Amino acid sequence: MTDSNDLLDTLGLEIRQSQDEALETGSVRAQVRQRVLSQSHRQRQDRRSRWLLVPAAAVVLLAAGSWLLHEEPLEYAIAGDTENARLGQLLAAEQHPMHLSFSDGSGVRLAPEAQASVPVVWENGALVQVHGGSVHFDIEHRQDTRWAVQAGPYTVHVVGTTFDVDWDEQSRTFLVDVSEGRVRLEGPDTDGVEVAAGDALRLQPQPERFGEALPETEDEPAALASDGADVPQGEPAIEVDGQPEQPGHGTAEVDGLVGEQRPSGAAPAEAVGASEVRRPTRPWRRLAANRDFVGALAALDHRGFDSTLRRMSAAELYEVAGWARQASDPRATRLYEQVRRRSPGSTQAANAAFLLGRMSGSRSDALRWWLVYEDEQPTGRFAEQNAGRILETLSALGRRAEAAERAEQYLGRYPEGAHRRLAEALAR
Amino acid sequence: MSATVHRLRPKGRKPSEKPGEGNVAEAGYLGSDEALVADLLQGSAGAPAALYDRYSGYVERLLVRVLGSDPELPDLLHEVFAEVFTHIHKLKDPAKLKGWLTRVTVFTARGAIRRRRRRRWLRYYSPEVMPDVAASTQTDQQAMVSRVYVVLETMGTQERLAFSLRRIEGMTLPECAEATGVSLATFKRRLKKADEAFQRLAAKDPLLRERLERVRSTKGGKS
Repeated sequence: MTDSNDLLDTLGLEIRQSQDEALETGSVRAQVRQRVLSQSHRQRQDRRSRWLLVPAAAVVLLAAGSWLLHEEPLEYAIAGDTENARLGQLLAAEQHPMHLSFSDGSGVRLAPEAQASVPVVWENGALVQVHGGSVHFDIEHRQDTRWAVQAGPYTVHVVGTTFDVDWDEQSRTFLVDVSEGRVRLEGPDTDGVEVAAGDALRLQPQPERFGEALPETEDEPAALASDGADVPQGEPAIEVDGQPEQPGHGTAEVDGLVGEQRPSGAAPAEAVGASEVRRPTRPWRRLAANRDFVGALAALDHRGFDSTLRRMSAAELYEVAGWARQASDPRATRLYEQVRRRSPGSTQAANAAFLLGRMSGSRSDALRWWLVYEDEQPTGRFAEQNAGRILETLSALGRRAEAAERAEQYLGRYPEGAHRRLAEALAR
Repeated sequence: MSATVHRLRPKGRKPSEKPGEGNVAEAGYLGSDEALVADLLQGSAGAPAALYDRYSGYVERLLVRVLGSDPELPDLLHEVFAEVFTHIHKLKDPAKLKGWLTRVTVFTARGAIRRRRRRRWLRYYSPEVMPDVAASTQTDQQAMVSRVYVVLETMGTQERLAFSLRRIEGMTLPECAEATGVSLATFKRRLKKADEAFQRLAAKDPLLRERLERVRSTKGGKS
């Protein structure tokens, strides 16, 4: 009976590992989140409405009206103006600060000389682009708040908080200073860094690499920036000038986001006035957004796989490697290795090490990669899983003493971890 | 473009150190389960999001353990949380939130299995039982997992749940008993039956037979 238990437990462990790999993307959870929370929100609203229905029908109508209003996209106005401001309008504070009030209660203040625009609003937030200068944000925290601030290649994701963003287009220096709450930052070399209250973070490109141009090919002279990897999947990419692929119109920087497509001499007003929201234009991005990773890779093949990838940033390359991994395409390994070469020391490089370990054909190779990950990202997003896999592998390789020692560490660090049972067994 | 990062002053709080705490909403709610349930009952605006962010990974994982790769997964995940938000007031001990969520999830999965059985009985060939990955693109490991779920599909619902929770998810026997709402002794009986049925059925599948033999010989070699 014990043999049978062991046998089935081992098979179960293999299944578990395989399933955990597929679950890692979190795409289903993200997809369902909005549905679940908006339903929960409506339930709460309904419950309130039911209470209100008892005293008077008129009050119910009012509640329904306010509910409807709440579901509409936000509106915003410049302090002192009687009318709401337009989407995409250039907001330029001159000698005095400019205050913006949003219909969800959030406030934005542009310091003198600062320029910004609001190209998109949703029912639960807005996207604010900071073109230059210092902008203060006081975001009202609500359920499902969806606020984002873009400055150059950086995007700050906000739930409810107070913070300042400072962007200097000329030196391309970005600063975020958080007074309350917490924000998550995406952009070159940041990969989901969180900045909490009391923290400030400044990012500045290294001068020797700034402006480094990409090699261009005849068939595709423009940078890939319109499909910037830093725009989250499923989120609309913002097309600044409506012609993202126009030759010679961008700085062609490796990690360029949309904002960098603007010629450096052009006033932001020209670009922002014509802004619009659109879906990704590249066929492989469209396919990948629909989780057709095989199709996305085929589209890249059609365009010239290697030449197209040479022009991508490390972040984009990492993304394509993920598609290859999910499509069980053997090129995934090579792509993750390229990510490591392109951006050594980055979070993506470390994550690539973890995933290379998972794709390794031998246990000893896998172990080597996971030890690299552990070294590079001891508290990274895969840290717990990585530690568990090291335990499994050491155990499978018969390195019991090391496994036992690591099992103790694992239990101390992740008492509720997915590998706790194995760790307990090994630690005994 | 490569950038240098400067922390301008000592950190007030460390960024998320726990794996999985990658998003702001989750990091924003640090209270206990009891506090979270209290907030939910009071109708706090951020509480549903906090509950979802804290437990959606766990619920999704449990659904996958029981059902395998399933095109209905998003709907079932939604169903579990809709049930939770609707009936949270029925949770008597907020400290047992996770156990309660587990039961809701297991019962939701069981409902899905039974619905499909009924459809099969009605000879309605439901598209959601079609494999979602072409066999040619599957790795050996993925193929093995698919075959395991084909076998589980032919087992009784209770046995399938017992096998999935104990062998695949690796829950303890008391946890399994609680999740399925039966006594420990009953669960043990079901598991024994499930193990026997699985081994019998797996032996008929060449891929699974080979895999089990390989595991057996590896274990035998070590001992």
